[in-house]
Formats: sequence, structure tokens, C-alpha cells
Amino acid sequence: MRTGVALLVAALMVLPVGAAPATRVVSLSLCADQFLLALDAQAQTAGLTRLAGDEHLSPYADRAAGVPIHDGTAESVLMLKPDLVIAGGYARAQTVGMLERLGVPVLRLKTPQTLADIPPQIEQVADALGRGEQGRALAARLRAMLTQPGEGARPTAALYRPGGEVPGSRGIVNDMMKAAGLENIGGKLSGRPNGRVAVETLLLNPPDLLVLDSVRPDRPGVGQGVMDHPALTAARTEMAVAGFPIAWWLCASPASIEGVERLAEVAGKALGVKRGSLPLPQAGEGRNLGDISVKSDDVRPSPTGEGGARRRLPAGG
Amino acid sequence: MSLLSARNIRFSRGGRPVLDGVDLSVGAGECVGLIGPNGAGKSTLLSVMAGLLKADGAVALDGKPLEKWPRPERARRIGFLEQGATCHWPLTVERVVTLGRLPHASPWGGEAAADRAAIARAMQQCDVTHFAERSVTSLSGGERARVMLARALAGDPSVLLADEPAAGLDPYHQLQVMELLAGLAADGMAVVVVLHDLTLALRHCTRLCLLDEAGKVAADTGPGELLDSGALGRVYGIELLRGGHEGAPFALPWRRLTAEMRA
Amino acid sequence: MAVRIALLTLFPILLVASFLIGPAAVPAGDLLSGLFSGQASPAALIALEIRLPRALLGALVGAGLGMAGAALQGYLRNPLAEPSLIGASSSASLGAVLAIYFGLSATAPLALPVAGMLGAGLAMLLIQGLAGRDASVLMLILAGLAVQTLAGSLTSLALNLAPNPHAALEIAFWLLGSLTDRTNDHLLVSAPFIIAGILVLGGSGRALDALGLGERTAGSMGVDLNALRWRIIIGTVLSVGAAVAVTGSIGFVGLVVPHLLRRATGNQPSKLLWPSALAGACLLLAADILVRLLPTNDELKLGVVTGLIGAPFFFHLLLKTRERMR
Repeated sequence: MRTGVALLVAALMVLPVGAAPATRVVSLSLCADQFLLALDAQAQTAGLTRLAGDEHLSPYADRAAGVPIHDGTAESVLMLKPDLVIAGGYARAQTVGMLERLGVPVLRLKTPQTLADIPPQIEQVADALGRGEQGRALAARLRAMLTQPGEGARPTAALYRPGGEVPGSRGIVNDMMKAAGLENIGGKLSGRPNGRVAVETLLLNPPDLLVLDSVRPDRPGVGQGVMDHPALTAARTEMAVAGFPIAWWLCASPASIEGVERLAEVAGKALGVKRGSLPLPQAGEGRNLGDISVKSDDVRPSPTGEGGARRRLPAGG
Repeated sequence: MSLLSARNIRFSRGGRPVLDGVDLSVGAGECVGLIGPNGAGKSTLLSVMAGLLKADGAVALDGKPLEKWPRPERARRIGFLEQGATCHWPLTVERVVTLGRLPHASPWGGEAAADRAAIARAMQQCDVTHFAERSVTSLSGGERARVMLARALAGDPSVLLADEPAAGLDPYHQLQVMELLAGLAADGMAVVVVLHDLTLALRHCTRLCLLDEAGKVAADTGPGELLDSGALGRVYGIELLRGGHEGAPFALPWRRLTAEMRA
Repeated sequence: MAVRIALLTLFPILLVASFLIGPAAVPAGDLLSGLFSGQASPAALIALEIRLPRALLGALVGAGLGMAGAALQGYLRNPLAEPSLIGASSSASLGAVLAIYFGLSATAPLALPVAGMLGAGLAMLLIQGLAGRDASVLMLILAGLAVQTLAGSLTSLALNLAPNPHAALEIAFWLLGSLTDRTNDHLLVSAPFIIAGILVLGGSGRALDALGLGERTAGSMGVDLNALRWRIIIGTVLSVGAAVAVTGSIGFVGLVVPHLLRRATGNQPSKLLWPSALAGACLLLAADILVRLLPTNDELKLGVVTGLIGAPFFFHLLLKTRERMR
């Protein structure tokens, strides 16, 4: 929290109240890209990262079309003549330091740990762009979506990544699962906030739902074979498996709040197929998504997820 | 009847002929000294005769071309003692000598009584039995040379090719090695030994083959005849002091020949 | 002889221990009955699909690395020779990384060991060309360093170009060497090659003994030097290439094991081969058990453990070599 305040103060020092709105903004990270794109500020954007246009990683990839991209080095950022650089929490410290030394105004965004951290940041970015009004409206809509799902039994879930990496009880993945009505047991499985889980641990403590986000049907190779272990294949009768596009939670961005609904949807579908019922609350249903909406065909349940669902049918029925 | 014979051997290295039409044969009971100036191709010829180096010409063992002999059979018949032979691992003396039985080993391992007898005899002959348990890397140069000779003898070869077995030894051990080789020849082995020491060569060999710097045989005859022919002095470019003791001839290198003297 | 008995006793104990010990606490009885029950209970799945391949793969890979180390040291007449030091392991890694990277391993399971063996084979030929057969310690280590650097750089290049954000992470982690969650499929595709490699190398004992007396002497004793060279290259490529392809690079086993056994086996290369294979299996099983028992934050990688054990040995051997060269 103190760092948050410090960063805010730093940001305010760089951006004195009443300063002219930035017109050539450069984002230094995929996560910072998301804030600019969520505000539909392409006209004021002088540069995005390369990944901004990757539809598997960037929820607003379609909006990034036509915006210049840069390779993240200080010199190529300088060549874009930015009047504001937005750096995400994981931004390259060296590059940011260099830009600050050279007198480029930098707005640092702290990495949000919960969904509730996101609306204030959208306001912060919107103010810097001179779009305070729009920012507050978007933030208000986002906050409205952040209602807690009802009490009651929650299905357990874990996000399972290549090499057994399982996000635990901290960070945006955990918060999104919570908001989607799931209980993330990743932390319990690995015994620490974030860590690796052996296949046999997973077998002995299977969650109701195993979420996969690493499968990219367009690019074969590592990361596709997470469920290939024969023991896991056999254990599929124990747990439902759902594919969820990584773009929603790779960055904690405005899209993550909308992603909650998608997560609830794929989880409900996977668990419903398994149990023959739909126990999950349908979070965010029927809400107006306004500016932050993402085309629904951006949600691509992976072939693995679907295949898993099909294979589970006889056992679950 | 020669046991091992080389006919018209030609070998060149880097365009320079090392051996140029060399003939050499050795029969049972002979101890042939292979002598000549540095670079005359003595070691090369020995390698060719051992089948370790391919050269033009023909090498025959018992009248049959060397390359037609199966590898293990050839290894059993021809013993070879490398110049400055050593062992890379600190094995005991006995183990090194035992390795000499490798050509006789059955694929299923195990030492037969014949192996043990041959090992014991070779160690006895080379006088290494009393340090059989010491590591070969801890030995003095003379001791190690004898161990390596014992290794070669343990294989019970009918031909022994030895490349400078006396180099680096003190006079006592030089004589010991040469007497051993001469004795082996007297017992029916065919021995070819590369030597630099003319005194030793004249004293212990039954025949001497002198190679010159052009890689040709300058002389191949008995020690007395070789001394009489004057070829030794000519090929080495030295003046020799000749003498005789107990009925045997000897020669000492006395001084280098100057250009005028050579002419 | 005592060494063989000790190793033959230790090996089954470690094999069973590796089967019984794991990240999840499953009663030994459940695991053992799970092996034969034919049921699909979690304990049976863990026993058959996770613990069994892990233990067997650990034993096989360790045996292959130990045997390859002993054979290479005998062949190069150099106690510092070792599959990872001469770059065979990192090149096998490169081959495997490329197979994974291009998705070959997903479509054809055999692609993984084959790519690993191709990588190891190229490294062996490169070393052969760079250092020659009768390589000095210095030349061997320098040539190994060059091959390792090249393989490492190409692997990093593959990581840089990795298309999937998780791919880079997974490859990087896999490179450290591990037996975690290897499957029976991994065992099946690599075991035939590793076993073939061990047998090929295991039959080279007498020739290696003779080679200890020098190349020409060995030749005169009936050793076919050309055949021996190919035998060592093929055996190393089979055992190391196939092993590294499924476990990632596990270094120093081939250095430590022959070093520990050399004196006890009378320094004779032939007597070192099979005990080294057995001791390699024991060392790797023990290290893999250690990895699972240590209360580290994340499961320690096997390659890290063998590296931590092996590096001091390497320093020690270097010091000894320095003394000898003075």
C-alpha cells in the first residue's frame, strides 16, 4: 500500500495537475497496453508493445491494429517522441530508469493484485490522457461488475500450467476465480503462495475443475502437452477440465473484470457437463459492458478443453 | 626360412620418402638390430612390419601376407614394444604384464593356467617379480621399461619388434635388456630391435640392418662385416674407433667427419 | 569385489526407496498393491504411471551416464572426460529442445530421443575434430567448452524464438534436468537406446585396457582402433543422447562415479565400466530421492543437485591434474 501511495505521488509529481493532456503516449508493457486500448485511446497512442496485437495474449488485440509498435528499448521508445510513457509493474527497470534520466515523463502502474485495484488505475491513466470523464465512467461500470458472488458451496479449482506451475492464493488469477464463484486450491496443492504441483499431488487432491490456459492451437510445441501425462488422462473422471484464454488474466487489466464472467461461463459449462447441472452463479450476466466489451468470439475454449469434455461424457453422465 | 619379412617397403610423409624400397626379414633365432641416423625411418619400418602402419610393399608373416592374418592371431604372433612405452593408469606391475595376455583371452574372460604361467615367466625373465604389486606409475624409467618388455613377452610372441627398448636406461639395465633380447633370440624367437647405441647393437645383435637418411638399406649383414665395410661411418658421418674384446668386435663413435673428409 | 557387492545391495534398496518416496504421502502398502491391483485408484495410478517410470528412468539414466563417463575416461585416457564436460549432454539438450520446439515430440514420440542422439552425435564428432583422439587435458576441456557454448547459445536462441510464453519457461526449467512427472512413454522411448548404449560401451573393456598402454601398443595387441572409436562414439550417443532427451541435462554423474570407484577397481578401465553403471544408477536414484525430501521452496532440480555434488569433484580433479602436470 505504501509503495502504491509513493508511486501515486511520483506520478503526480511528473504530471502536475492541470498539465496539458498527453498526445503521444507510449506503453512499455503488454499490461499498460491494455489500459490505453480499454480507453480506446489509439489516437493519442504513439507506440504499443509487439504483443498488443497478439489475440491470444491481448484481449483488445483487434483495437491495436494500425497503432505503431516498438521493441521496448529506450532508443526506439525515444524515437517515437513520447510525451508520456506508461510502464506496467513488470516493466524493464533499466529502460524506465533511462527514460526518466532523459527527462521523459513516466507513469508507473503498480501491478494490481486484486480486481478492485483496476478501476482506480483506469482513472489514473484516463486523467493523464485528458479523458477524466470517460475514465470515471468506465471505472464506475467496472466497479459495478465487481459484485461478490453469492455465498454457498464453491466448486474447487486450480489453474494448471506447463511444468506443474499452479498460481496460488495471491494475484489476479486467484481473485478472478474467487469472483467467478470458484475456490482456488492452487495454494493448498503447492503448499505455498505460488509454486509447482507434482502430478501425483494433483491426483490425490483433484480439484472439481482444472483450468488450462497455456494451449495455443495456432502454435504447436511446449505447453500443449500439459494433460498428456497418462496418470492425468486417467484422472479425468475425477475432475472437469476447462480451457480459458490466458489473455484475460495474463495482465490484470480492465478486461480481467469482464473475464470473470467468461471464466464463470466456461467453468459452469465444464462442471455442468461433468455433473449434469449448472451450480455456478452466472456472474455479470446481462450487464452492459460498454466500452470494455470484448468480442465474444475472442473466447476460444481450446480443443483440449473440448476434447476433455467429450471424453468425460460417459463417466460423468 | 624367415618368419617375418618386409619386401620393397615404400612410405613417404609430407612428400618426403621415409622408406624407399626397403627389404628386411627376420627368422627364428635371429636378433636383428635396426640402426641408422635420426629420421632414417627405423620406427616407421618397425610399425609397418607390426602391421600398425599401411605402406606400399609387402609384409609377410610365415609366408602369408600380414593383412590376411586375423587380427587376434597376428597379435598372438607378433609382439610389439612401443618406444617409451608407458601406462596411462596407475595399474600394478602384475596387471600391466597380465594385459599382455589380451591377444589370448577368451571372449568370456578368466585366466587359464597357461596365462598364469606365461605371466610368471615373463615377469621372471624381465626381473620385475619383486615389485609386482607396485604401481607402474611409481617406477623408475628402467623398471618401467622392463615391465613393458615383460608385457610384450607375456603374449608369447614368435616375433618381437622392440623400438629402442634400451633408451634412457643406465648401462646396467641396458645390458640387462639386450642380454634378455639376445637370449630370447637364442631360444628361437625372431627379434627386431631398433637401437641408437652402436656398441650395444654390435655387441648383442646377430645381424644389423643399416638404414640411411634417404630411407634405403645401406647394409644388412653381420656386425663384423658391417664394421669392415665402412658403411657405418659413411651413413652416420662419423669416424669410429674399432676394437675387439673377448673375440667380439666393438666400435666407439670417435669424432664427426668434416665435409672434406666425407668427400 | 567388495565394491560390486556393496553396489548390488545398495541398488535395489535405492530403487525401492525411490518408488516409495514422493511429493505426495501415499502409504507404501497402497503403492505396492497398486502395482498389481489393476485398479484405477489414485494410489495405483501414482504407483504405475508416476513412481514406477520415475524410479526406472532414474536408474537407467544414471547407469547410462555412469557407464558413458567410465568409457569416455578410458578411451580418452583422461579422468576429466565426462559426457557433460565434452558437450555431449548440452548438445543432446539442444536436439531435444528443437524437437520440443518444433512440436516434433508431440507428433512422433521417438523424435525426442532421436533428436537427443543426433545432438550428442554431432558433439562427439566436433570434439573428435577439435581435440583429436589423443587429446591433452587442456585441449579436451577447451574443445568441450566450445561445444557447450555453441549448444548453449543455440538453445538460448530457441528459447528467444519460442512462440509460446510458457514454452520458454518450460524449456528453461527442463534444461536443468529432472525426473519429475516423467511418464512410461518417456521410459519406453528412451530405455531401448540407453540399454543398447550401455551394452555397446560395456563390451569395450578389454580394448580400453589395451588403449591405456598407448594406441600403437593397443593396435599391436589386436585392438581395432577404428572400431573402438566408433563403438565409444555410438555407445555414448545412444546412452547419453537418449537419457538427456527425456530428463534434461544431468551433469557430473559420469565424472563423479568413475572417480569414486577407480581406486577400488585397481584403476583398470575394464573393471570400472559395469560398477560405474551400477553406481551411476545408485547416485542418480539417491539424488532424486534427496530432491524429493529436501524441504526447499520448490522441488530442487536433479541437474542442480548433481552439479552441486559434481563441481567440487571437478575442482579436486583439476588440482590433482595440475600437480601431475607440474
